Amino acid sequence: MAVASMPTSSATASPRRRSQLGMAWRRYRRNWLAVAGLVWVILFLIIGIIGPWIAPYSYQATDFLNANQGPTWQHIFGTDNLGHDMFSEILWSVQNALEIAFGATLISFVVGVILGLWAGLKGGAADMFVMRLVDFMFAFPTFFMDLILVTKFGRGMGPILFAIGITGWAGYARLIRSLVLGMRNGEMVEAATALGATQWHIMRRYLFPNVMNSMLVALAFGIPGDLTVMAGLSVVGMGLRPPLPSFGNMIAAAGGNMLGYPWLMYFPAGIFAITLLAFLFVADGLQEALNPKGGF
Amino acid sequence: MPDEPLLRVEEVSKHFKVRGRTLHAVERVSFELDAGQTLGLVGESGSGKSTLGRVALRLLEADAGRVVFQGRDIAKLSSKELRQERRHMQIIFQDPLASLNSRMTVGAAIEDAMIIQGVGTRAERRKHVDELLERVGLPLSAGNAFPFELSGGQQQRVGIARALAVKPKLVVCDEPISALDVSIQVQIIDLLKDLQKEMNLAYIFISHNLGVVQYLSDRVMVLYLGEVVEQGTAQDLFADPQHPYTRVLIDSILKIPESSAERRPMTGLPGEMPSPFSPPVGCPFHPRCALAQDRCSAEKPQMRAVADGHLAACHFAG
Amino acid sequence: MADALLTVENLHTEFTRQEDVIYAVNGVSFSVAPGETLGIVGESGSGKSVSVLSVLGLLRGSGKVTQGSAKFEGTELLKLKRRQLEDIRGRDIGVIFQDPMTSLNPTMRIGDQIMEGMLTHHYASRKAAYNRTIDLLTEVGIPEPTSRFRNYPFEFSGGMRQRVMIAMAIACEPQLLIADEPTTALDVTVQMQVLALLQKLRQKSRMSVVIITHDFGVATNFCDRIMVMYAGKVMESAPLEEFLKRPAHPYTIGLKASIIEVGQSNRVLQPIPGTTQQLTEPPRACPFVDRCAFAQDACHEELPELRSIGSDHLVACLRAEEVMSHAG
Repeated sequence: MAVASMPTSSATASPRRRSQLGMAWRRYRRNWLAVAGLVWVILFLIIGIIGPWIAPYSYQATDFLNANQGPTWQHIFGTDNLGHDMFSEILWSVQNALEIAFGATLISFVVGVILGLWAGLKGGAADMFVMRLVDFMFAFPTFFMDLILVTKFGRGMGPILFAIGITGWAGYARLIRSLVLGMRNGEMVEAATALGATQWHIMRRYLFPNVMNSMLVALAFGIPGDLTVMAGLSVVGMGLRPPLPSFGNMIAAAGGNMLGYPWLMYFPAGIFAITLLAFLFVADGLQEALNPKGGF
Repeated sequence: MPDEPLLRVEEVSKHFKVRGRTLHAVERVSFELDAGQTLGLVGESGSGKSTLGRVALRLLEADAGRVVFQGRDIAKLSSKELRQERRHMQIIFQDPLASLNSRMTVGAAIEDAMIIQGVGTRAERRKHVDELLERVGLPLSAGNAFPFELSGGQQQRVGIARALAVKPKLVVCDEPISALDVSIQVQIIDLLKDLQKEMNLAYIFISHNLGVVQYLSDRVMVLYLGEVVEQGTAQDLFADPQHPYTRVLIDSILKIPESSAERRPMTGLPGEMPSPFSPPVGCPFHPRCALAQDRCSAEKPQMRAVADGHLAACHFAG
Repeated sequence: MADALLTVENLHTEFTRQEDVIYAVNGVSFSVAPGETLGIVGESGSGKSVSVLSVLGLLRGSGKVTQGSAKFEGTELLKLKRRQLEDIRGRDIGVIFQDPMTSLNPTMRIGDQIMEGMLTHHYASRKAAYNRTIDLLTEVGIPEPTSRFRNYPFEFSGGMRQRVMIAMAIACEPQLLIADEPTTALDVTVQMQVLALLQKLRQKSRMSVVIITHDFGVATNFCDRIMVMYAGKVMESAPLEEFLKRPAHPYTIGLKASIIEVGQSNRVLQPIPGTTQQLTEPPRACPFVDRCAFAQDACHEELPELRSIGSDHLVACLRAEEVMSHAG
């Protein structure tokens, strides 16, 4: 006796279904802070790419006659003590910030994913080794290590990017390892094993798609983190070597002249703070939107 | 070998090490299962029935004993041979949602079983997916759905379709209906029974629902603390239980009475299941057994025939 | 019933899930008399737990009571402030849940947890509460109560934790005990022990008990009256004897026929087709109509009212009389 045919209904899938990405976007859209953050981040990205072209002045151009000037039509964000146009400085800074933040986060991320997957899947000695390394990275003040690396290799783009990247992987590794470990002994992997899947197949088709969302969220949280580290290096005088502009340098320099020339602080610090918040809102929104078990 | 059963489990034991202590999950269990037959495993949580099901499929490695499937000792297969052999032995889980990949559509999940085993071309696989969906009673549109969009009963149908996609000979059903509503349970049981007939499947059916086990099984084994205490045909074992524990289990079922006068008085078995880390010496059931005597705590009762094809491990059985 | 302990009338509860509204409870009425045991039976999504949680103010998430009344000893529970309701809950109404592990505090000794209720409800002094806790632990069958008092929940087995929950629920001698799937997570032999304990306590103190369960076996062996729910509505409600002898709703009959008992290995299965649905709009026809073998055109058009078809026997089916004669 066969089972009666199922009455199709809202609980069953509709014939032409919306994609999972579409559902995630619908969830994302409901969070207006995340949407606002995304708009800002996109704006930031665009400026990062075209900033140098639309900047009215070069970041090296100085105008001593108009140094330390408040906002005017000529220099809408004012000028600093060397007569740099602050608006142009900020446009150039965005590019530097993006290169370092994305580059460093990418390095941390790749190192973290590889080590985390390896530790989670292999277990045993591999896991032991990676986790002790992670413990070491967490116990050791990484900012201090950044300083050492930058001191050793110089204050250029490359060394700073590398220094921040190579010290930031531990969090990603730990996250991915714990996710993989949680799934490795679960029924999903057991079912795939029972079907005769190879470890490679299980990793590619079962584990990776399930850690991807969490990784994306971690990545989105990681970028503002790296931006902060980069600015922090500037504050202690080990950031990008001037005249290369960066938010950290501008904020550090403005700090000394806060009472006399406050606009030197307002614009870079304000934009930098909003950018950090925007990235955090985006990360937060992603976290909510990508949770597959949250209703739809 | 014409007499070789599909699956022969010989004196299999499985122990787990948990923080330096040894958990005796399965102790020296033996059974045989022929093609197209169902073996029911019953017992309470901690009895080792799920572990035994996994050892039979080598999803867990046995610590002692042999598992012979289709005449081959599966512990001796290379990992490649084992992966190929898995085509013939499948498993259905209690929680189908946990066993499915939430990032894969139902159709992709079923197809992946065939991809893993290298079965068919893409077009053939797709066609087979549709056939399977229809066979397990799902609408074709379910193929495009994600598992969490389906009801529990539909999810279990997906689990069944995936297991059957590679045309297995043996399926371990690990509490496949326990998480489902009663009206859905019957649908799934009906489906499993039909599929068995159609595909000549052998089942190891694990459940704590004795009525369902009897309904589906040819033979039944009762486990307590990892040991088999009684086995027999589904008819004999439930009609004439020999081991005191089997009797307690059957007696604990709350049947719907015919009238309020026939209600079951609430009297329970005293005591708790002993820790599987330190199972009692002698008969594992003796600390809670009403019939227990000195002998039971000293000497472990051996499995012995009490009737044709009916075995019990109790000094006083028969 | 004028002298009922708890009277629930026309209760409606909704959940908001993003764009959808889920109609979980759609006009449920029932009452519990002093000393009575009521079994509320239904499958998942039937609203059996939600209707009782609504009354107790224990709805989680977006759940909201939209209509109805629930009077406990004449007090309207749905209009009480949270503090007032908390005062009644735990003192006059004891509650047990399916999974004791999630309702016990893992970082607190179980003895202190049992005492806490008595102290917050000013039921007893500290000293008296301690003595009563020891007595309660003995009563619910936990050996060595003075040393077990100091144990934490993780040191207990599932059955023992449920006993602790029961001790907590009855500590202030409530008049009503509500047990939401109290034995579902337990093995059969442990289930028997827990039910035996509940029965003993009930007989001793004459408290009313409401058991919410999906298991007809538990309900029929334990309760005086059975109420069957489906899709947030009461389908049938009858005293036990009447319920066993003259079931009148096709859903009740189908559910009972779905249970495969030992000794029935040769029977033919007759599954109820289809599956339960979450209602995203209020029911306008009989919610069971798509799965019902007795359905007629009229069943698609009107919502059957809960009506009396015998002494205290209520059923929400247009064709109850025919169903009953057919089944009998």
